[in-house]
Amino acid sequence: MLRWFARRLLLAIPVVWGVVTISFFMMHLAPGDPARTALGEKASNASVAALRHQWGLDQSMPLQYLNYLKQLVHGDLGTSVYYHAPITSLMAQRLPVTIILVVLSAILTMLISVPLASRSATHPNGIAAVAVRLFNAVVQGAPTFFIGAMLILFLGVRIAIFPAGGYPADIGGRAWALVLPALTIALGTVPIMVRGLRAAMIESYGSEYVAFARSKGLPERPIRYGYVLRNAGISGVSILGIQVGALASGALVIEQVFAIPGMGSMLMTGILNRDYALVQACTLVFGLLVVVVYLGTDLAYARLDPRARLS
Amino acid sequence: MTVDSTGEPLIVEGLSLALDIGGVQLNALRDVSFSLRPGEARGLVGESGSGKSLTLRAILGLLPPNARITSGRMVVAGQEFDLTRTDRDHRRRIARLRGAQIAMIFQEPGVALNPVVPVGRQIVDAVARRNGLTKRAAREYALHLMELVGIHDAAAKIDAYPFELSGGLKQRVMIAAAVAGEPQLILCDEPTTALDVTVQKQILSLFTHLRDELHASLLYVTHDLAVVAQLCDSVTVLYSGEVMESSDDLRAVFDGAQHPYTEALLHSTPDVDRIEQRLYSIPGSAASLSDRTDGCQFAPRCEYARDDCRTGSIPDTSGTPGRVVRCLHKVGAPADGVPVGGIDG
Ligand SMILES: Nc1ncnc2c1ncn2[C@@H]1O[C@H](COP(=O)(O)OP(=O)(O)O)[C@@H](O)[C@H]1O
Ligand code: SF4
Ligand SMILES: [Mg+2]
Repeated sequence: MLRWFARRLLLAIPVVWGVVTISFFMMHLAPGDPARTALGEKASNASVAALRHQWGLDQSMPLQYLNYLKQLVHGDLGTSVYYHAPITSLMAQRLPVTIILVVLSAILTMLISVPLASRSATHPNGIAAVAVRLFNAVVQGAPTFFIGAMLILFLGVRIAIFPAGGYPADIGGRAWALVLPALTIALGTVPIMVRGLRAAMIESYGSEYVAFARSKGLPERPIRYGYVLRNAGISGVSILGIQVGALASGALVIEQVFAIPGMGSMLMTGILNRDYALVQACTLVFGLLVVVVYLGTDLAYARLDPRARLS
Repeated sequence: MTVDSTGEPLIVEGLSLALDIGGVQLNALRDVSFSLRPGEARGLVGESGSGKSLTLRAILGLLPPNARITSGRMVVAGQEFDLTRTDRDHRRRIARLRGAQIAMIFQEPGVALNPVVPVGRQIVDAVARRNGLTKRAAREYALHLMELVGIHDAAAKIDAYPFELSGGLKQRVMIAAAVAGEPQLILCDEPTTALDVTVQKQILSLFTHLRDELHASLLYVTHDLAVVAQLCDSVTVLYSGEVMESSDDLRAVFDGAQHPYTEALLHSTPDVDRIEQRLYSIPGSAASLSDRTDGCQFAPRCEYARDDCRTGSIPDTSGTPGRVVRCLHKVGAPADGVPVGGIDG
């Protein structure tokens, strides 16, 4: 188990390196000059050149790349020229918000999908099945930010049980403030999850092992939980693992809609202000997150499926 | 267990079943009847596709969703069931039989066990729940059952997952799970077909052993008459969803098959004492569901067939109690004589 884990971590290194390299060159090859952006259109060419020298932007690209890698190896993400602050401390504030948002949306995805899939698997013409079909049609036709706006309108403004945006200082208020954005992100993944889970459950219900369980006299309830959901859950975990990328990118967009101070708004600011170090750091952290999530998925998979434990 | 006081463990009468295939209703079983006495082992014999599995599943109410029972009644230990019913109350009564009165052993041990649950738990999950066994007692019982079905290192295997066991061991696990509720009747759906020849022999002798040990009746489905010869007291021969020949006395059939199909089956089984899978060498092949016709289903392959075989339904012409022969021109009957029992129209 430990060796398996170590091997997976080693395999992640080239992935992370690739993400770092691509983000570095994408930023540096894109048009625009961070020094010029920082000083404004009216600044003299001399002062811009001086700032470029101070930030090391006058060095050759390969040299800048090597310096950047050296810095990363030492655990230093650099300094944000926009925020005038070390990026590590910016991350410490922003990253937890986004992680909580993504985790919350993953939990909501499962809380909504499992009962819906389960009900529509056993009652293919029931209310749940019809609701799922309708819901799929709506969600697939509308982009996430639109659904977010609608949720703000109804739950945030009309009924006003949730805040329509912003991020209060107290913990309780923060948790409450994250529910609506998390729900918005989750709604984008629910249709995919419901479809996958329902198909897996229908297959399981028609399987020989369920017929044999019934022939032993096992009641439907333990068959549903111990046999059908237990087996369909394996598909559920892999779908969730794949969808975490979608959840994370959903978080980036939705943070803007709900004015949540997470990674998304920071990344946006960084891109608009040509803050190379900040954008690269954000990309790197996202890359790391995805690697961690895939590892977590594999661990969960191995817990659920004994056949996967061997390899 | 006092099977005698509760009467026949199973009577099936006039079971007919239709399958919905692409919106078309096709008859998969027609007027199937048989019964078992306490402790009896009956062989249900027929080629692949003759409706053996559907018959067993109809008894336990485990039919596929596109199957519909169009007629038939069943008596299990004195309880009557109208098999055409589909209401909740009926389904509950059938469900109560499962595991406790009637258990079933499936053909493919590889797919009939839950892949993600240890085998020990699958052996006792249903019975532990029914009888309110503690975790510890359930585990003890699972170990006991595993030993009963000849798993020698039960303690080492009890926490194994199905994929970690061989086909033969998985089949033993399934047998252990089936006998866990001490059913009066065990339905066996070709329990050795998916196994190696040597393992087949072991599982067959396990059945012989369990019959004596548990005093349960067996309804043993197979396509192999040699297996029937070794294990059973009586036999029912199925062809294209219909009973061709049936006898409460197995020897009577082996010594003098009266139905041409049974005769052909016996001829294609060169040595009934050898237990081995073999292909039938009856000319032609079994009719598919959509090819079923009026008259005798076996007519296209029957060397005794005449014009009158191809119309109407073929009556029982045996004339002997405990025996059914659905044939107009039985083996050994005079070539143009009137069939025993007589028919009209
Ligand atoms: N769910 C189903 N849908 C369509 N056809 C089926 C289904 N189940 C069984 N059949 C058909 O019904 C016939 C009898 O099946 P079965 O009882 O499994 O035969 P046996 O067990 O004797 O091999 C076969 O022709 C089979 O293809
Ligand atoms: S009824 Fe006719 S066709 Fe059918 S088995 Fe008898 S002789 Fe053959
Ligand atoms: Mg079968």
